Amino acid sequence: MLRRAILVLLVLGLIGLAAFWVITRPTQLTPDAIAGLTPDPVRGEYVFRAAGCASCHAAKDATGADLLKLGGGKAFPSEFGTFYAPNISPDPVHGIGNWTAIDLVNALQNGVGPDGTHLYPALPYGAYAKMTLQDVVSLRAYLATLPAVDTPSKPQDVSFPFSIRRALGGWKFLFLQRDFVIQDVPPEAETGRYIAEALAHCGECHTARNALGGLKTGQWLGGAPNPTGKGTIPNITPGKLDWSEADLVTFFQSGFTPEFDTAGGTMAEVVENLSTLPEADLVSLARYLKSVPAVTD
Amino acid sequence: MRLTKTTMIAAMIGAITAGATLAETPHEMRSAMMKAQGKQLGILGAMVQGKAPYDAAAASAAATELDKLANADWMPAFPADSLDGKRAMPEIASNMDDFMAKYEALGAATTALVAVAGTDLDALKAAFGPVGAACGACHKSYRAPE
Repeated sequence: MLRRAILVLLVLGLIGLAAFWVITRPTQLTPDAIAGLTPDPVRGEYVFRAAGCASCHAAKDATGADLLKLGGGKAFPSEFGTFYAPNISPDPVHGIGNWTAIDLVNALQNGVGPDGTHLYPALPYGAYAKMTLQDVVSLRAYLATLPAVDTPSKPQDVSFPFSIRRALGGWKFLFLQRDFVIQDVPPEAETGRYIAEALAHCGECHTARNALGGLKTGQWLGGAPNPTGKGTIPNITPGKLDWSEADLVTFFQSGFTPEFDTAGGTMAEVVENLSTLPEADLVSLARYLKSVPAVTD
Repeated sequence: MRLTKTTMIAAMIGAITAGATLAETPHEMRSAMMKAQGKQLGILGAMVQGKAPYDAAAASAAATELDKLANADWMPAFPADSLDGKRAMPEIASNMDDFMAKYEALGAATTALVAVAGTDLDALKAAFGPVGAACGACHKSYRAPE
């Protein structure tokens, strides 16, 4: 009887290990996934701005041309430890100059580096996984045109058990979602949905997280504690935000709220990025925000 | 009567500077200062955004008010022990030179606005942008979310 119980436990343990192995295994696409796609660096620049790459990967307080020097180093304290943005400039040693387009696809959409290790979701690959492969390929072409910076990337300062990168495979299994969060939007909000959910990663700050850092998609854009300090990132669903579409577009373009307050903190950086997009796309973004399900506090 | 609130706030700041005690906390003072500036920005912004017709006299008056508020002594509203991140960030105290530079940039932008606000709408628009940018530059670095 005892022998049988031990045997059952052993088998269950092996199944568990096998499941862990399979679930946490980094998945990578091979180059044939993007065969035939022609990079468009002009579209790549749009993606770069809408996704806000410079806001994290340029130096702290960078302005003007320095926003295109993506040497990294900016610190992002969190409850799991401090993340440092890596160098993603075209430098072949310290940056990503040696990455192929499929390497960028795997980093942005699967959260896996070229060496096959999991990347931390401080890189919002949960959003970028919703990008088209065409856009990633175009972004790759645009990034290659930017100045090389020879600053070495800082190692991530994350505490145990989050320091075990293999476990991130489990995180992805639980939380990485490739479909749009809001499935039904009017056609005129589709561009806006793509900007909000795939590129600008609004949900990363405006949606609350569970204890493991997964987004509570049932409360999409319903507001959340500030990830980097005091206060609350606001609820921007129709349950709270009553601005008109025109108000929203004015805000995206100028940073002015209807009360003539101005965007602050990281949202000021978001506005710097959004304000470079065509007005028609910002109108669609406003339409998207008006069509997401209302979250009431 | 439009002057009343501005004058009150200017007087309040003056009183604090003079060492008088008032019931208002630094947080309340900051909030009142910002709202007062927002009111003038709203008058100007409505014209800039085409929501109200351009009115040279009203634009001039609002710019003058705004300039007075922007160039008042803000320091009494930002004592180090009041910078708790709700919403003024403690980084203000450790970067006082930069904070002052941003404050002075706003003052310079509003002074430039006063000079042209009454000229025409294009001149107002051109000078309004830098004012908004000055507000945003400081909020970006030193204001925490609500």
